[in-house]
Amino acid sequence: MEPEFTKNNDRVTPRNDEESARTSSDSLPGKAAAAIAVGAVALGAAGEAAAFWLEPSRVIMPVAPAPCTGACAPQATEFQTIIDKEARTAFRRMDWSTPFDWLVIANSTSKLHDINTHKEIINLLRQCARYSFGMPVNVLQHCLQTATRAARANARDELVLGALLHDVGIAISYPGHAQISASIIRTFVSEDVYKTVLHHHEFELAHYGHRIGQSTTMRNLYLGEPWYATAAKFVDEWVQVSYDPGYDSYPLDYFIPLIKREFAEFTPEKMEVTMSDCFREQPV
Amino acid sequence: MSEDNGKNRDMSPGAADDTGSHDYFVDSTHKKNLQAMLLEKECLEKSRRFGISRRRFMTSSFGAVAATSIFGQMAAFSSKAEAMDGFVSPSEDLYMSVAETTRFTRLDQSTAEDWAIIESAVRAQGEGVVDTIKNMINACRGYHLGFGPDQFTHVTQTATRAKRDNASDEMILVCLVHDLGKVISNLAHADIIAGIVRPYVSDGSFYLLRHHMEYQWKHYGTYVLRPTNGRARYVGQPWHANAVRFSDEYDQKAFDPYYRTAPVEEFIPLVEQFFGTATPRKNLTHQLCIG
Repeated sequence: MEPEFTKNNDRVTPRNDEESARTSSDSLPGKAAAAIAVGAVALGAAGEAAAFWLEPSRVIMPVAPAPCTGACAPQATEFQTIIDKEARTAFRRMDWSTPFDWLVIANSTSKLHDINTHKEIINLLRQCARYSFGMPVNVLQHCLQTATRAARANARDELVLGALLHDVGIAISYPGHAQISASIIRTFVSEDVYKTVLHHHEFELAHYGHRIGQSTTMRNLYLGEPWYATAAKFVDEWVQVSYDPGYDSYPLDYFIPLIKREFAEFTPEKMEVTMSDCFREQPV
Repeated sequence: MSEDNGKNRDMSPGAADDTGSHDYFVDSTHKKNLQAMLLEKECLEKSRRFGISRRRFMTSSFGAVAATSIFGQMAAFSSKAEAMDGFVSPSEDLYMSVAETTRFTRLDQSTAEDWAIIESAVRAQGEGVVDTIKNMINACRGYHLGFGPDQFTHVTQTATRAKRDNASDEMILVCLVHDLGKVISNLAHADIIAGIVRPYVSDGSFYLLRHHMEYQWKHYGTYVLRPTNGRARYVGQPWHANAVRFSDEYDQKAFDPYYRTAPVEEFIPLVEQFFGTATPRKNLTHQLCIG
């Protein structure tokens, strides 16, 4: 069951987290299901029970990154059945929908959030192990190292989460990775952590901008912001020093409870955050 | 808006035996969708034969046997490689073939040579973004979130409507990707997808994607306790007209199982055209509020 794309220098990709124990093997359930199916011709109730126990939503996400790039793993392969069983709306256009429709959607959305979101984040982090860009640490190791430094400096949880995920957007696309990472955590952390992750590249430039012919003073754009000190500490003490292959980072396992905890809350009110930062005037 | 211009035939009723799930099962090559289709077809046939409703058949013991055998088959070949059919696997040489290695352990000790190495590796990864976007589109298959059609059907239908409305390439692309953020996290999906496509599209499209929920709330905001006039604050923006068109004509109408949605293959060239570019714009986070 081990994937074949494990890298040689992929030392921190965990092989045994608590989910792996429950990962199904491929042949055993199949045989069991076939046996049960034969038996259930006589016993319909047993068949029903088997259908419940064998439904693919019980299959837990594997430990390694999904064998594809980007955000692609859990939805289509694992939750098909649970999704298929859910109530669905029948409207053909949104302006023909009813309040009841939106209850159905809210129910389904929050349930899928509970099942899925932290797994997708963990998957994206594991995807990061594929990218090292010629550096001695890959992006996952860099993220873990940054988060470990933050944790050892007794930073608050959401800042550790920001440190862990500040480069996770690289798993999708490098050019916009700061904004992707910041958007992913945006509805789960406070404003200063969001801004810190969003603008970490401008703060980083102080350390190497002069090597690539760019400004080193980009961070001065944010001198007046309340999160400036947080971001400066975040980048100077944790991010920019975390390219050290000899550092003893915590493994990804260590941070998984944190991810689950921080992404647990489903608050639809937070959908309005995108309204708050660019266009501040209220609608008429 | 005139509905009878011959372009939009989406209001025509489907065939008598169209269950409504036809569109998004038929154009799906995904194995699990095929399995679900198999189950649905079998149950439909048998329930017809026995003259009971599909729901009653599913809960009856015979339906459970049929379901069990199909679930058993699914579990039997659920080896990961097969389950991931339809997704683009990473080509390892794209990411691993960096000959040189940088030496620094802290950014402030890096040199210009180091950054040349990183730059070339980043360019190599850039070729993989097309695959990433394709995978995200693919991941939307079977992802309903309570809506009738799944998100895959929804985004392809949105893009189809834009295409049949002779919208620009960029608008069609925006329609195709606008809900892909939902496969990561539903709450900030507009923000996430806007961040993903920002280096590859114009700022107008970036803001359109970023704020498309506020435009959509016009149609159902009262039901979800959101302002229905959220779009009013963007009236002066250069991208406002596009966003209105996107929301009213393409996005909010694209939940119709009877619409003849074009296959996703029609839009893949667009994905390759926009995301396959060698020169994405970089490091735009310092200019967030220019629209």
